[in-house]
Amino acid sequence: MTPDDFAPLQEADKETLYVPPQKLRERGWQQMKHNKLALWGLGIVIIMTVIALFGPLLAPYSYADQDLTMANAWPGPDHWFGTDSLGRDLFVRVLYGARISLSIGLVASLINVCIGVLYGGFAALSGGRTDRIMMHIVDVLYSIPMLLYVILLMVVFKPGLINIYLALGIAYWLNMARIVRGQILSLKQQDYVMAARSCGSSTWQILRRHMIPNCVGPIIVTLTLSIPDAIFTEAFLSFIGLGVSAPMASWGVLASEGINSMRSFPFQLLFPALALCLTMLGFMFLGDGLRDALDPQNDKEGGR
Amino acid sequence: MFLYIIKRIGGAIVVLWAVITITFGLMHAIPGGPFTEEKKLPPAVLANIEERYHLNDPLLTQYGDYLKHAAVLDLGPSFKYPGQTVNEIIAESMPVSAQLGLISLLLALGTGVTAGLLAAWRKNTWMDYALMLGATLGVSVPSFILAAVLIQLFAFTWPVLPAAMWKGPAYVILPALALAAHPTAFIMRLTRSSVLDALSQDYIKTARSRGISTRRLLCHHALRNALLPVVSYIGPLAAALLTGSFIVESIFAIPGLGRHFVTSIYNRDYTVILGITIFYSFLIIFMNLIIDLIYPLLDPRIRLQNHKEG
Amino acid sequence: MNHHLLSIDNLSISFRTYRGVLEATHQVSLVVDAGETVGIVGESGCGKSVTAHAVMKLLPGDSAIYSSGHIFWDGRDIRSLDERAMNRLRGRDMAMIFQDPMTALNPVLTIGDQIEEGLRQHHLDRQEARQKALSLLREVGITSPERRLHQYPHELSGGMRQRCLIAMALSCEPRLLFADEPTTALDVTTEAQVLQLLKKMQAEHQMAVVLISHNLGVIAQMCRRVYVMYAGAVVETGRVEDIFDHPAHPYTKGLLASLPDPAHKDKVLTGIAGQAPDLFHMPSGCRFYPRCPRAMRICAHMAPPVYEREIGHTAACWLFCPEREVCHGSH
Repeated sequence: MTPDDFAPLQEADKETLYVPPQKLRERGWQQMKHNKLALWGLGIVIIMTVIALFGPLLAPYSYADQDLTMANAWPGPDHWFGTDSLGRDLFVRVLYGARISLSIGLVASLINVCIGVLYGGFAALSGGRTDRIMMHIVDVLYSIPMLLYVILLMVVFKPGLINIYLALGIAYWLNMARIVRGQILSLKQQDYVMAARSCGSSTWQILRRHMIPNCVGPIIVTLTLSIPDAIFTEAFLSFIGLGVSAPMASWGVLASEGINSMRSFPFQLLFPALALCLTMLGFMFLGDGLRDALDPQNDKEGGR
Repeated sequence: MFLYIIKRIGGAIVVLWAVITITFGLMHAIPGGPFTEEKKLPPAVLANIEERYHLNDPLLTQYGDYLKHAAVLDLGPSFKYPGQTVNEIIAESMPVSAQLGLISLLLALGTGVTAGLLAAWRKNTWMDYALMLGATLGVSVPSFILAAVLIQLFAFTWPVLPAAMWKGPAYVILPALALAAHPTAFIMRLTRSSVLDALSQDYIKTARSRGISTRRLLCHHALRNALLPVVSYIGPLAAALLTGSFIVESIFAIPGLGRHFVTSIYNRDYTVILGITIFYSFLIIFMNLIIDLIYPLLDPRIRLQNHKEG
Repeated sequence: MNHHLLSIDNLSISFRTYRGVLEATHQVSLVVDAGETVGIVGESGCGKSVTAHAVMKLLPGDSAIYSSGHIFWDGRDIRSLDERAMNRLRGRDMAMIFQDPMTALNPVLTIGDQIEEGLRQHHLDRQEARQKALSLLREVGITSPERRLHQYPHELSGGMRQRCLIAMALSCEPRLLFADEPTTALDVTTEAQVLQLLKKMQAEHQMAVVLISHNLGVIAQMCRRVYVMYAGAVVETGRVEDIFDHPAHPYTKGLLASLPDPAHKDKVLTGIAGQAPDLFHMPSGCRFYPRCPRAMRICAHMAPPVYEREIGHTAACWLFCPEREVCHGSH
């Protein structure tokens, strides 16, 4: 040690302690990166989406091409997943099924989001009596088993793709409405919103700067988790004969057709079922991961 | 308390009325009458039938009649099975469905809670991973696929259990498994996450700092709190079992209400669809009412009067 | 060899987080003798609570790492004890009261349940436990204890709940009580009552108390010896008089300078410039130097050793390096 060591240190020579705080979104992404399951989920969802978009373009057959001479063929080089009882190529039908099942999941969920966000947001922002009445209606609807009404709607509407979008879309927005309302209500009472208001921010500014960014997380999570629900429900409807109409086929239709011939031609069930389950898993892993990562309250610094 | 119950029952009646109105409205929104559907009936026969079922009355009169009958629990005759009323169909098939449903309910709650607790207790061990993997698979496989696979495995490949029908205790096992799998998996995930949530609370730390044993922490302190979300899931659970029964009863050829419902959908037997929908809604609403009533017994923070957070 | 009730020796605790491993305390040494009151003071996040929780092994098992050091309880190394052995120590030998009485009680169990449970764990039968719980509640100054036993936490006020927590902590007559910010969540008037109660209980039961607080006033009022912590490390220790009348470490001086003093209203509250470091971006050398008004070149690259100023009064700061004092003469 030299005397020089004990000379005063100039302010400029000190390390700066200020570390810019991580943005929530970046932190969310960092958490996602460490969540292997969520990454797998994301991967599966992306692959399935690509298949749904481009798969059918590359397929050598159409989903409706029948070749009765090749009926119930086992998987082989010509027909990778085999053929069904009408000689239609199962691989191509599964590719098309991806399109239909995923689009049902997505469109129905988006309709849910729109209705739910508008309804919940309106209730929460108006507050008071309006809010009470609107939420009472949601409570009432909540106690009704919605699937029954989806079935009823499908019976009335006649099966078909558009009708499935609509029936699922208008039945399952309750959850979203509740979540959005809860989020906005709790935000309304947050100190920083009060602070913004006391600084004279307009309602629109508060909405844009505080409410919307804070609602996006829960909405995305709910959306992601409601997509598999919609796909599931459609599969269910297909099984009781209320799904999309032939020759179009969702995975649900394919799987329930497969069940009839399960004993002799198990591959007819296997492939659509695999596609269905894999997609379910993907969305669920992704949704769970997003929930863990996007929730700003869910601070995992303590690493519990 | 008493006033609250009266109020809730009043509410439930209003909901039921809404349910009946919606269902009635939906059924009559179908273009044409229920008998113009398939094969053309001779006009005379058609008129005769429509006369018999009062289909030519003004809609409002029909609605009034239906409400009147529903109020005294008369859900009308079946269109497709002449001579049978919806009430008879329900009375006949309900016991079977109730048995299957109840067994599945207990199975789902029992296994789900136990396994979820186990997974939370052994968090991040192979046991946790195995259980959660099972749960995730359970949630991601549609019940009709599971039912099919179960039949294939346990009735054909390895014939130890009957594949279908409803003739004794052994006939319950496969359908109950198929029906309970999805809810079990869901309850497992729910229990695990809420137990973990409870375990991270301060009061657990307090209890630990006083030397409370791990087992007691888990079963007394954490589970009590963690069961609350599970209890509030029982309502949706019952609904899930009901709708699940459509599929499971159809696949296993069980003469229950669910299979009747599906058959009536195939047959477009409108009064039966209408009647069973109302009956199911009634069951679920009733279930939810009961759960709302017992919930405060488990969570002292909630008082019945201000139960609905305002 | 070891005559202290509790002796912590160079304890470092780290946490695994998704951002990497984070060191929450760095080579903390601390002793507590039977019957004395020791204070730990510092800003929030400086590792006060982590240290206390580490002693009772209450840190989350899957993410906390005891990276170095030892904890001796009555001469026994606690780090080697398993959960079952720890459970025998907890409650009976050492207990803890927590910062927030709102969340520290289980909302679905009655007060009686929660007090008696600890007692029964330590082999009292139901009747005895009930009697003991009643007398404890009376002792901590709770009115109509028979009624309280059957109430749920949400039915009591904050002060009441904290009293219940104290009763609970005292129920098995521990030899050491950690009080982790026991009054931070309470009103000023309630705070005074609770502190008074703690003092009385300590005298009556002759237990040692480790009082953790960021409030220098509370520490001055209650403690005999004080540990000052900054960013996970102990920077100064001494008797209360040493710390308050002749603070040595620039951080302690800064803390004291930020206390308002009613007798000298014209005093300028200086405070400490800057903010405590992010535990992921710890400065090299002395942890405090970037904020230190008397920082020297050496502070930037070498952590200071602990220097003894007087008997029992130590500071970790290069200002007290004998070589420096030779070079510059003492000011």
